[in-house]
Amino acid sequence: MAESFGRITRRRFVAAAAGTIALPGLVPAGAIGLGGAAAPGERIGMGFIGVGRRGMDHVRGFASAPDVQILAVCDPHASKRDAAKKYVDGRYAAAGRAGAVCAAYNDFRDLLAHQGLDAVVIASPEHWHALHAIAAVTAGKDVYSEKALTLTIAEGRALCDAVRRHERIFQVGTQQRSDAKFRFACELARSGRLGELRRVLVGVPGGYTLPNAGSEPVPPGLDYDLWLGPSPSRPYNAVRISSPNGWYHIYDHCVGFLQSWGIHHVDIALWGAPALAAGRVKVEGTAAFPEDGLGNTPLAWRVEVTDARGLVLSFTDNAQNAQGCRFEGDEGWVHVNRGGISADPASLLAARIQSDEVLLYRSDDHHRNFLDGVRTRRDPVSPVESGHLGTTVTNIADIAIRLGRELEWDWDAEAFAGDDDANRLRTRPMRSPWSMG
Amino acid sequence: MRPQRIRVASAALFFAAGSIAIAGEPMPAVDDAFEGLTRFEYGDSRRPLIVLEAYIAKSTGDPGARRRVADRLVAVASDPAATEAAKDFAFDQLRIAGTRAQVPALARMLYDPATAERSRMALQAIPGEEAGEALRRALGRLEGRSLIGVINALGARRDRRAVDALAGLAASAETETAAAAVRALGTIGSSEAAEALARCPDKPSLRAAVADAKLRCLEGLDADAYGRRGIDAAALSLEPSPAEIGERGLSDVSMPRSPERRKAIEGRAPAGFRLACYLDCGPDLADGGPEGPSLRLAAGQPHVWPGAAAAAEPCFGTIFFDGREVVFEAKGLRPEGAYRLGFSWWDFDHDTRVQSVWLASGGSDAYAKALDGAKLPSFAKRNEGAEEKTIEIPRDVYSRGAVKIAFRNEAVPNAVVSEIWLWEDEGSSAARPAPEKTGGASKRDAFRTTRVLLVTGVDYPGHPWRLTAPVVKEIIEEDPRLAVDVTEDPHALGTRDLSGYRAIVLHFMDWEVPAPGETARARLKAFVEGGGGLVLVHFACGAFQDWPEFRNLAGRAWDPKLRGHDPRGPFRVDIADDDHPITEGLASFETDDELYTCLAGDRPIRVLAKATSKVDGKDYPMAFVFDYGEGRVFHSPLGHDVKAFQAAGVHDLFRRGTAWAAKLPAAAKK
Repeated sequence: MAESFGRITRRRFVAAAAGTIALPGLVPAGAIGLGGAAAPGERIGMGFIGVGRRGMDHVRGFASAPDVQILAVCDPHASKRDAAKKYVDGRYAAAGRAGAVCAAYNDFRDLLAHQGLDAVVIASPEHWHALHAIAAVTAGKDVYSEKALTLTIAEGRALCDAVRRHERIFQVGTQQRSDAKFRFACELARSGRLGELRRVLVGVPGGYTLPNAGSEPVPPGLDYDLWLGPSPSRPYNAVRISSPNGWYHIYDHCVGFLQSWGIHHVDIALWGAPALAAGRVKVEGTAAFPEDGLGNTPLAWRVEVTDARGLVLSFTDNAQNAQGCRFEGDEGWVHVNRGGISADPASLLAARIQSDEVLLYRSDDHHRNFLDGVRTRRDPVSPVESGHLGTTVTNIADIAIRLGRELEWDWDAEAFAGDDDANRLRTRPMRSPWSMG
Repeated sequence: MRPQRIRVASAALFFAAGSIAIAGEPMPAVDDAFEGLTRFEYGDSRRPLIVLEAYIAKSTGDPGARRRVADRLVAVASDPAATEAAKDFAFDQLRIAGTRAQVPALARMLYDPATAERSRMALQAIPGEEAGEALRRALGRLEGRSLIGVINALGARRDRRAVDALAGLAASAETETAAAAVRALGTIGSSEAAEALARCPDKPSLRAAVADAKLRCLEGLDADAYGRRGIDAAALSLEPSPAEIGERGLSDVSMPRSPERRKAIEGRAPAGFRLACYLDCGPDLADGGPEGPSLRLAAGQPHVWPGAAAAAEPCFGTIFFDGREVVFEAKGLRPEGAYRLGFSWWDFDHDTRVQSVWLASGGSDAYAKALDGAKLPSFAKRNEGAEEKTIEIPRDVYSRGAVKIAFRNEAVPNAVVSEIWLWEDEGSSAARPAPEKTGGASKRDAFRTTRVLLVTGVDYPGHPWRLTAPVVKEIIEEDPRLAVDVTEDPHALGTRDLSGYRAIVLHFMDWEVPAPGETARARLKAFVEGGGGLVLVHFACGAFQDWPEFRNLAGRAWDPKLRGHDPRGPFRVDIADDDHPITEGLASFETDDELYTCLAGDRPIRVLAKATSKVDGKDYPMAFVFDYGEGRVFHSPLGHDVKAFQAAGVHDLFRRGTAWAAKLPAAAKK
């Protein structure tokens, strides 16, 4: 089964994921004629799937955009969707903006049927990402989706294909790409300023242990069946649906911080060293798991991904490799995280990348870059394929850890070479009636 | 207990879970864990399960260990004494460790409702023909969610042997089952699956799923496979229709039009030619046919440049655009005729666009360049207006009667086209048979003699009339005597000849636009008073808020001071009066909709169906009738969105209600 992952759209896929764009002089259409608040008909109509902690960050961000009208929100938690609606209505009323009131839905399918939506923001748990995003692009919506892109490798492939099939704009919420210091570190690595690249070191926060927790009554105002969606049927308890000390660390819903935090800096590693996501790579790793409790994803881990020419990605929790992403070459290194950038020799930080070197896609505002994409139909800085590559690295790391053996991953076939059991873990059956198809 | 963050300072811990021996007999810890598994309850310590999770995944590297593990797991899954929590775990782990040896036991558990879903998920993950056969066999023996799960599993497995059975299920009356089968065919993506999709009946409720599945087949099938099997992609109509493309544009952008523009172009036809088709890109998706040439958008999206209306005629400010290429398709060309293509373009908001034009024979992708990359005139930079161009279409390109025209983006940010039109030589135009005057009714619909006008086109933004209006039409036409014409302009009530219609269906609400004025109101009232039927769907009760007589015409009308409706969700519609042709023999039914609680009015009505509010416990009318002059009125507030039209009972009410309003005798029982 599933031997044909990625067969058809591979060409387009590679072109987009390479992410090297040299388009001097392009004026985003969004910047034209929209100095102040736009007229209602010119605003981008937006909806939000999942308005919990992270979802509300996006609601607040997009609510301040003069050329956006938030039309609807949805969440299986009544209190969350009501709070989000109240926030939007209040915010627009305070700004004196006319327009329809924000609708609040339980079910994302009802939200997608809301007339006037051009784009949606997805901030649901990982087990929902693929279904929410595929339904949205199939309904003709552009999508800004939180990372990790999907729960599994097969879901990521299906989502990439769906985005391209429906010619939708897709921004993955790997917002470090819209931060100049990350872009600069990657430009140094790709332009040969570090000499020949030898190692890329990534460190991110390790996982949590959770308590054991049994069956509890579902609280009023929560549609738990809809929260579970494609996950296997499990009794409700408050720990399971909590964040960040709940579902992130339960394998039914997410592959832990290894996946959900890992994607941020793995994405930067691949942006600066795309060779890691091409051809065939070897992957092996070990991890410490919780010894008890609901959490069953790695607490601490050490994984190595090695490409055909010996370039190594070392991926660990941040008690081993320092937090962030560090590119090491023959002639120097650069280390970048959200707190800052450092390099040796320090003179690298004063370098000016020249026009004949590798200049990467320039975005300084992840939300604005997405809105520009919606108007110009140009891929944003974190296209869907970038999310798929980064998420896939976290998944092959987890699979190698769980199986306890070295694996060979073939990026062209999107399959492990000669290991059927590893290939089985690329996908997971979904609870009926949900399916990726 | 407060979740605890673990920091690992040394690598020693790394091997805590990885040290379990695989070769030879399992470690005692694994044996102990299996021993206790059947009694595991949610809330118990997961320590033994964590031991097993680590062991089972690693056992896949050792055939002997794996066989023992899988046998023990399937024993737990089928043990009547095991807890549900233990079974959950065992089925889960069988997804990882199960092999063909466990298929017979899992297949048996497919037919027990208590285990059907979990054994299906395990079978889905187990490679090999045995699991595939077990799943295919279950297609004919399961129903509901269990059946959908099996359909999804066969799709995910890309099981080509399931295509015939899935094609049958795609015609199922159960919408959810049919949609799952359509999606599975799209995932399988073989040429047989594509053919099955091309045969799917055209139902609005399935249209989006079928269009998406066809697209997936089209991408998944390489050209080579098509050629070998002699399949013509165009004949399979795998490409999305203009309507499907139109729905994917930036929505709610109003498209200004300039009808005089077409006349102007018509008036300056080159000598010996006439205008055959004209598209004002943006508002027009297709023109022409079926007797003459047709021209339609095949790839691209509509857009309006903000601010362009102040700079030029509307036809230039509305465009089709695409990141790569905007494609049109012309059909019905006479191989012996002569054709020229005209178009207009400009670069309103940039000074960067460079575009080329390419032509390909219909059905082929062998494009030849017809116009080299040309820089578009720039309004943004040099205040230049749009330019028109004409190119001759070489005869060999349309030898098979069709041609594809691609406007390709050679720079940034995308390709744009303002207008496109087709000139045909006068000889060809004259050679065509004059179109028959059939009054618009095709042969297929000849026996549909009772015509109904569905009025839609504007509503409160939460009401997706573009999606629901086709569903209402489909439901009414389930009665083979009824033919529904649709107008998307409520003002048609004031302008259109209504004399040919036996009933009018109102499916609009004049949200933030002026309601149709005096003439329309007077004609609507006269139509019903004079014996015509009137049907109101959902928020039509909110139309004409400033027209006092509407409350009498509708029987009950929206009163914004009242509570609007219960939270959207499932509720039961009870038949209140079955001594009426509309409700005779109908049973109460469940639906998923908004239960309207906002209707007000005082004229006598006869309530046929009602529902009880979960909020205030009161009953509210869901369907009612009365006579207005010589005419009959059927009014139902049901039908918020497509989902709300799924219940068979909703179909019955609107179908029979419309037939009754049109004064047809009760139809034979369905």
